[in-house]
Amino acid sequence: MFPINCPESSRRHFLSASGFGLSGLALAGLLERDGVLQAAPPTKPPTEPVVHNLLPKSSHKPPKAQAMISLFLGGGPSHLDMLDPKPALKKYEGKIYPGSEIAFDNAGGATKQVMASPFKFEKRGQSGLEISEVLPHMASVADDLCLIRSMHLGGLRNHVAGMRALNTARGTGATRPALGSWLSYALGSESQNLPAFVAMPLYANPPGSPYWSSGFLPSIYQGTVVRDRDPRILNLDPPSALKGRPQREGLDLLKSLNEMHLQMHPGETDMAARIANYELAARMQLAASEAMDLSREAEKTREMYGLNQPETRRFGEACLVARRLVERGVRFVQIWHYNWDMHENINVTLPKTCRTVDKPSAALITDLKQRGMLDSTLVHWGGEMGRLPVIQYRGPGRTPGRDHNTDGFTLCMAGGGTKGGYSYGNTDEFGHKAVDKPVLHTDWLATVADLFGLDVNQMVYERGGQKLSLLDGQAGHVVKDVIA
Amino acid sequence: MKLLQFLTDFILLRILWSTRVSWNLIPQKISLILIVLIINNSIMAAEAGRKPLPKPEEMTFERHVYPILKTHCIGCHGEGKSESKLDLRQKRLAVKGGEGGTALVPGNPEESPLIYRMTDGEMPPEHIKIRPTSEQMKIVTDWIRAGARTNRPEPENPSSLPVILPEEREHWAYQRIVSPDIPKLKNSKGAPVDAFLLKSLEDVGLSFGPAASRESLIRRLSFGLTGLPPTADEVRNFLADTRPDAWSQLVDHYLSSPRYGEHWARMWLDVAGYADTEGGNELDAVRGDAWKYRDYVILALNADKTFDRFVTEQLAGDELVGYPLPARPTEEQSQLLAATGFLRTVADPTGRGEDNTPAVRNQVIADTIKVVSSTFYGMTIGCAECHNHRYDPIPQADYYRLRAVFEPGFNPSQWKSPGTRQLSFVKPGSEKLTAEINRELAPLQKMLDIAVEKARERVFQDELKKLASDAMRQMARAEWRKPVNQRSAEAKKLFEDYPNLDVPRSIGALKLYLELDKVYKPFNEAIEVEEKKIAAVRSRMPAADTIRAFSESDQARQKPPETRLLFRGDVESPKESVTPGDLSVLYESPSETDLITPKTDSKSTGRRLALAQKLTSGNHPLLARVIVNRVWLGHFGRGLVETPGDFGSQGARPTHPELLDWLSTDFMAHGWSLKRLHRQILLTQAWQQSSTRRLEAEKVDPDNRLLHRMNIRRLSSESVRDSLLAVSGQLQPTMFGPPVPVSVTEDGQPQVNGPAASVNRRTVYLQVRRQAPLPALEVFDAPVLDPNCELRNASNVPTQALWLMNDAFIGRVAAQWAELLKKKDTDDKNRIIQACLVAWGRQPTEKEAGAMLAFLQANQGNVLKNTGNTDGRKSRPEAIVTAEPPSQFDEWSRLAQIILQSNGFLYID
Repeated sequence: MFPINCPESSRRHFLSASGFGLSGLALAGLLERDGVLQAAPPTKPPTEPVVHNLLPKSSHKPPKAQAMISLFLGGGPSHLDMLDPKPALKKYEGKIYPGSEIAFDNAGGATKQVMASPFKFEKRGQSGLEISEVLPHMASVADDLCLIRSMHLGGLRNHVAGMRALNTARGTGATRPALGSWLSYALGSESQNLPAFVAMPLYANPPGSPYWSSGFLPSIYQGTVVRDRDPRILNLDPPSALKGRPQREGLDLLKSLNEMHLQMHPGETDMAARIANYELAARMQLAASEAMDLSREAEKTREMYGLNQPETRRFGEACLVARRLVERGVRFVQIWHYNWDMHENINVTLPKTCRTVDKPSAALITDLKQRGMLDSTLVHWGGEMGRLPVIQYRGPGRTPGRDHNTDGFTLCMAGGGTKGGYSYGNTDEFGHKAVDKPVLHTDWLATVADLFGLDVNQMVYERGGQKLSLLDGQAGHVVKDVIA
Repeated sequence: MKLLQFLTDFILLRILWSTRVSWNLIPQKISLILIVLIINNSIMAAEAGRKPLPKPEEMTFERHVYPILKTHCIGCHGEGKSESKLDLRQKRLAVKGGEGGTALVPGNPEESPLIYRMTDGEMPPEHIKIRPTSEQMKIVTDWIRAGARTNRPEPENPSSLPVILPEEREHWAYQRIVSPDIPKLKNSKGAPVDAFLLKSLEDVGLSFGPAASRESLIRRLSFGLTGLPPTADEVRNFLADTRPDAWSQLVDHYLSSPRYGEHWARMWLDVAGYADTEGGNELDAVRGDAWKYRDYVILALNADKTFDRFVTEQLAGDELVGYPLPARPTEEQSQLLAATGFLRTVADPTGRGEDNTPAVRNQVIADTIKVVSSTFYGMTIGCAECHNHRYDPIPQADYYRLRAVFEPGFNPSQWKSPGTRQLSFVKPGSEKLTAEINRELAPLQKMLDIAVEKARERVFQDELKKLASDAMRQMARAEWRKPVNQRSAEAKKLFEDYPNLDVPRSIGALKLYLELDKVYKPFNEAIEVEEKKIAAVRSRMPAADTIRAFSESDQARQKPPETRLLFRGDVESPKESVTPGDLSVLYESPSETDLITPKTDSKSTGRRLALAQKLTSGNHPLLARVIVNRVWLGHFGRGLVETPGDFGSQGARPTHPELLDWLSTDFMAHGWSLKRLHRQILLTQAWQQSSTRRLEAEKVDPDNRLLHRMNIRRLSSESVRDSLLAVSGQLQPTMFGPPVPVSVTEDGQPQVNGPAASVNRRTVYLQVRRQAPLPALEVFDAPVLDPNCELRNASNVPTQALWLMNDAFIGRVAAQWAELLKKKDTDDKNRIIQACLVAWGRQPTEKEAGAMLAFLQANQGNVLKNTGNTDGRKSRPEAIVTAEPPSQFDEWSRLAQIILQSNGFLYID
């Protein structure tokens, strides 16, 4: 259906310019579309079906990013060993931590003994961004990376709260819509043959799942889970006997029965969404099979993503699927790699784990760039926390690890209108707390929205007289400095 | 112009912020502008449909301001510590102020640092995620402007402050449940529940909708009580039933079905957090006996065990049996012990050594407290584990007092891993054989002991040779069999210097020695010979009956472990010791919260029984409301309190508080019968009304909070699977017993294993593996245990459509159903009517039947055969399905599947 490795920049339809600069109108459009502007005189009866769809919609201002691939490295990848060099720690190696009070999370075996990174940091690329030797491939694309080295979670602790915070703006409380749901709601999708929002948990769901719920947003905006191995989406193939016309005939009858049923139940949006989902599912049988079929990729590309080595294969395939989905118009793809919670033996485990993601991640950035898609695709790479500069030692027979650090960690981005070869903010000299231009998860979410041309405060969904928003009334400041 | 002025001020403000100039220097008018801004915001909030704010002159510190300060400030300014010496627990203390001077100037919010430090975002500190809302800020501002009133004089000594203010106690959920008068209405036909609902509807000019059709009603009822569709005969009979009490009869019919217990047990198991695996780590070890608790719940519900007893048994079944636990429990005692499985549902990875740490044990306890609190209290008590609850009046000490009730059973310092804590009993009838085998084993065990001693002696001799002097050898020989604490100081030193002298007593450790050197080989072999003899005899031992119960060890009962408040919830920072008790906010005086534990006669600590007695006394404000709300949620798709797990200040308020209380008192007054409660709801006009939206009502009550119509609902994950099996005549009605195993295929897909007779059983009997949820259930929102599930998600994703279109399971079911339909009738039209009666619970309309007939005619005799796996079906996961997909499709099997995919099947209207 699609040519293989098409060099054309992107198959996505670019958003029409008519919506640019008309944030108020665009907002009114957003609201009206959803039948939520109660103030307007009811020109149509409220029992008429409210149509929620995934057709492309205008942003508040010209967007930089039009799609996002989030590589979520859950568990807390150690910024100190990967992206945030702290030479000062060498001086105190093995000594008592000289900084202010340490916020331990996991008290078992907590010590105050400093452990500097055993890994070498070097200046990379023209930008001179310092990256450690555990990420040689990511280092090779340093000039495309935009680091925020002053991330923190405002006092939230632990994984579930952290992953929720970065995805839904709140660490606790009822499940709220994920970032991907908000983007699907506000912008729709450039593909009507694939879900707007795809989540790919690798190996197992991260604790506290799902992070792809649409929360209070209509069900059409929730993330569709794609598996980490073939078959990536179950039930894509109809029995061969029904393939093609017989299935279509059946779906036509189903649709007309469902529509007659809907007429008996006017105003039921969930039933209407289900009718739409059958049609999407029917189109997905072909489109998703094609999109997930990595055998269509050139050998060179497969090699670049690490598909030929067992250690990089799983992550590499996911990255390649993500690129293929975004290329076909999917708005938001999130890969979950919850494998970074290294309370023990970190100096051995970390380089190993890095090897599983380093090459594919760099390949994704390189590949997007080669295809001219990097400018409009925001890549997010990182976890919900970093790790502490002191040893966690769980007792005899155990080797040292590092405890959680939600007070200072590094988040990495590439493309989507961010500055390349750039680093923003800093942790203290020991890498514990974000001190220089700290960035809270809500600030980052506001920044992501801004890159998509959305004002995070205007992206609202009205329900029961309440205006609900991504940040839920919390402040979120766009980090303008990271935007190119 | 005004805007320009504002912008200038705003810029000035930014400069002041960034230079951190003391706020006292900021011109007053800027603060004023901020206040204006805040007021504007709150007007917007009010317009958005929130309830109006109280009048400033009616505001008091205790009622309006304290809850806000408690949420945002008092954690650092008052509770245990006072940052900057500022204590905000009293208005008096706020005026007195701290290091920076006064915080509050009554009558003058602009001069009050309390206000401007919050408006400028300086307080709470930047890293605190929860910020005061504009409405909260307006309340504090208005209150100060109106003179900063208090309800009563504030005590001079702040340490005498009650932890819970009287105003906090006024929250609806903490009030005693008192039966309200039933509203007298002209249009009410009788049912008290209707009178309450109608009253609220009439207040806004609405009334109930028309009654639903009889077809809708029977389908709604059958799903509501049994989770399954009505059979075609049930539908026909009910449509023809002209008796005046036909409906009441039908309700009783379904309430007495064994399927009722299976369906409602599943709802209870959601809240209990039931699973068949331990979870918590990637092993996800199987939890062998969990199903006995599941069966207990089904049995109890079917028998309509009174709810107070049901609760008591789950909290304290072991105490009801009495200690010491009998070696051969009766069936009734076994049930009581199985009931306590409720307290052992949460993920517990401590079976693996490296996960058996104090922190993980603590997590198991904390999760259990969460299950207890959301199940029986409908509260998020867990927030008080680390500090006083920020929103609800639950001091941290209350959390630990409640935890102390369960501590003797958990006994964290003498923690038993899941495998070792099961209660093991001699099976009835096997006593004689067991005794015989034990007699046979005794001499064999002696032989083994001798062989072990011989080996130890030999190893010891060799170790002796390594010593430097005869004197040392002599001493070692004299002392080595003595327990360590009876050895002389010199000997102790010697054995510490030469630890190898302490030859291991355990066979496992000893063998490690013996395998080191071949000179020990004969000794090792001698031991193994004896071991084999013992194993051979032991293999004839009848299996013991095991129950996964919550019980107290002898030691814990004689000397209950101390429960200590943990600073910030950290197990490594224990603080003061607490005694067991219930939440203090629920009682008028602190002494009432104490548990009256049985003194001498009972051999257990009696704590859980005492708690159960408090909960079920009829005076507890939460338990009855919580269960009534859950049953209501089950029948209407939304609770009278929309947050079934949070009745606190952050939860939703009841839409009909008086109705909730009336139902609760009625429930308790009539013996806590759940079946009676179902009838109270199902016999109402409200429940029987149509679900069709009405234009005029939608305008007034768009979310249907007032229940002007019935809510439409999608089938639950279990109901989707069970109904497909039921409709096609495949459902196996076998009840109880070990779960149908679920395993994971090579490509990582969980699947049900076994012959049709077991894989076609109801979903409640399938193994619940935390880390291998069945795709068919997961795609339709099976409960997510975190650690339990208070409210299920109802998603709608294309993967559900794909499952219904292409999964082998539904293809097979449809083919089987088509065969049934074809056998029953010869005429297509009649078959269609029969099919719709079964799947939709109603006859098709002419138009619907016409469309289906047209499909049949167009495809008449057209048999489509699968062509094997050659045409792109390579990725089809054959291994994951519980049966082969059909090899061919005729027009009827295709139509059958379409009917099963339709919204008419998936939704209950």
